[in-house]
Amino acid sequence: MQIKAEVVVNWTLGLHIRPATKIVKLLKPFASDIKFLRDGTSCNAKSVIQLLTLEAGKGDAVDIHAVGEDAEAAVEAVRLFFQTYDDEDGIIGPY
Amino acid sequence: METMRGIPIFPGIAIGQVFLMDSEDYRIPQRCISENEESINSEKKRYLAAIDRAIQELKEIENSTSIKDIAIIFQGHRYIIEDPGLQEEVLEKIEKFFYSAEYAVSHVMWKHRLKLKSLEGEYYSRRLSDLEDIENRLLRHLLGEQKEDLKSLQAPVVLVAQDLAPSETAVLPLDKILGLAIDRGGRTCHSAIVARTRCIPAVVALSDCSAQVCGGDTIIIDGREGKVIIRPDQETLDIYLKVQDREKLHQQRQRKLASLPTETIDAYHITLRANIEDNAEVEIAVANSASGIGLYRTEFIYISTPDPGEEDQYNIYRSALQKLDGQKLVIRTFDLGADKDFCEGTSYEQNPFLGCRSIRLCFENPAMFKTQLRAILRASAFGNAEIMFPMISSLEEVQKAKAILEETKRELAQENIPYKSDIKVGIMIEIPSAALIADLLAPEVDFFSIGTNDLIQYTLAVDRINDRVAHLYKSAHPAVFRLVKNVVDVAQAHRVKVSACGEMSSEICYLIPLMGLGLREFSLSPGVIPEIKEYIRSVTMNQAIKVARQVLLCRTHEEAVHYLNRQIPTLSY
Repeated sequence: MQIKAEVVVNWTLGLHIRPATKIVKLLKPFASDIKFLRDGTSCNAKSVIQLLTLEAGKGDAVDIHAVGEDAEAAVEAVRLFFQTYDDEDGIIGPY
Repeated sequence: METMRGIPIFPGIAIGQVFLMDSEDYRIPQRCISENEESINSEKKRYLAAIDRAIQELKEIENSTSIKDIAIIFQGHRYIIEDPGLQEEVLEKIEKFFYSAEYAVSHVMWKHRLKLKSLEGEYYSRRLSDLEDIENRLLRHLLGEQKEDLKSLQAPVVLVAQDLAPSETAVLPLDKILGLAIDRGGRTCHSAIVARTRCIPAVVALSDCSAQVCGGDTIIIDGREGKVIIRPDQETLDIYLKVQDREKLHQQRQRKLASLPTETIDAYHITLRANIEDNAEVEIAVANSASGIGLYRTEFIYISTPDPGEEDQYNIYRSALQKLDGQKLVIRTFDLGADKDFCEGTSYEQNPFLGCRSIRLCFENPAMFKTQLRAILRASAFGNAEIMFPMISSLEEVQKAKAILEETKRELAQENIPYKSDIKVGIMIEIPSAALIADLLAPEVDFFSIGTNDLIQYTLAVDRINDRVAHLYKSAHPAVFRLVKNVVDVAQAHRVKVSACGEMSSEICYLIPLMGLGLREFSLSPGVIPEIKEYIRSVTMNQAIKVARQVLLCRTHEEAVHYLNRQIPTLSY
């Protein structure tokens, strides 16, 4: 099964390490091969470091490409994430 | 292999491994392993074991914090380290290219940093710190007890950095630095001064050398041509090993001149003294046959020790005088502020170079000023010390500084503490107003020292540490030569000694016209003294005078430089 969809990054700091980590955590249980694509670059959505190189900033659209048995569920999960994720401002820590 | 060009700072060839300051905390001890299966497998195992330890460590950090935001960042780091793609990249470097685990990690993380380069501002710097953090964690686990950070280096390295502030150079293990490659900076930047003092081959203004290398890369620094070669091939390496030998012979030959006088062919004597920042450099000055210290930049005492009291300073100055064994030591009072931070309650200034720095700061902190003067005076009983006040812009300032000095002398006399009562007092001429009223200042002092670094800056209104206008900092601007000529003429008329102590005198093409204008005393970075001495011995004062006359007719810096570049090589016999 092959599913495609499009989502938009709607939080200020874009696809940085925090949302990237949450996405990877979210998608790990799925068996399907899941790719994010943007502006000619494609990456494995289950790899934090690859997600970072997508350079997706606020307002950027990202294409999802899932292939496998649970592709539909995976894409739904991603869509829900992009709709509801709230990147709190002013994170503390070494950054 | 890649060649990059910048400004040559100190001649010589350095060949070594990169220590990439800022990005990496530890020296990469070995670039490659032996090219056999056993080494490859054991190296892979080392890497995988280090990964396990790093992952364990990150899990513990995650669990130990109750703050979700922090936990998730470390979880992200863990996911990156666990990422099979990343691991594959590192393992491939070990297997196919025989990289050591440390070098493989350094290289792969560098490549990922490069990918992030096109991002701007906040994204870039945050993700960059993530990758640097991860790399250092892995290196720490790989190197274990053997890890060497900058302060604990066991083997020499070539330091590559974006920039080096005075506070950073103050803590460098200079005996372990083979060479310097700096992205920013210019001829008078602090790294340049350090390199010329310590005889370290250096190139600055390379623009983005630090982004083109990773720790452990082999790099060649050609400090004479102003080139660096990254990851040289064997052929280039062989060529440069030969050049390195030639440079060493060159320097040995110059050292032999130590016992000979610094005289032009037509017997004009030139005094070459040294600029130093701390007592360790006194030995370097003496080793390079300096006739004493023409400028002791005492603010570095303030930068390296938190609050140097009278006793500490007295011991420092006294020790320097004793090492000099009768040769002159010109102590400049604190020149703090601007690029040399004075910590105590400094408020932000929009124009620090025009602000409360140097002698102005001393007037505002009389306790600090007097403490230094007391220490200098007490030490003066032990050798040939002279005092110099920086950044003087008016008659009132000299008079005020001298009044405070006299007051300090009276106090010491009352306390029955010995000091050199006829200690010579001079001023830096580095502000255009002082250069223009040199005749009014002459009666007040025993000597002038022309500080060309700041004189050029203030005269041309160019911030010498601002990259955007660095190209406008023009040493051979006619205004500079006219001001210098004025000061020298006044000094000669008033029988006041005059010398020059900026980086301009370290460059032969500028030194010759300065000599031709009448300067006979210079204070330079110790490392360049032998070469300058050799050059002076091969020219005549007559030639220098002709050159100076011609330079004064030039209408622009470019005209002067064009003339000098053609003329100077033809001069030496």
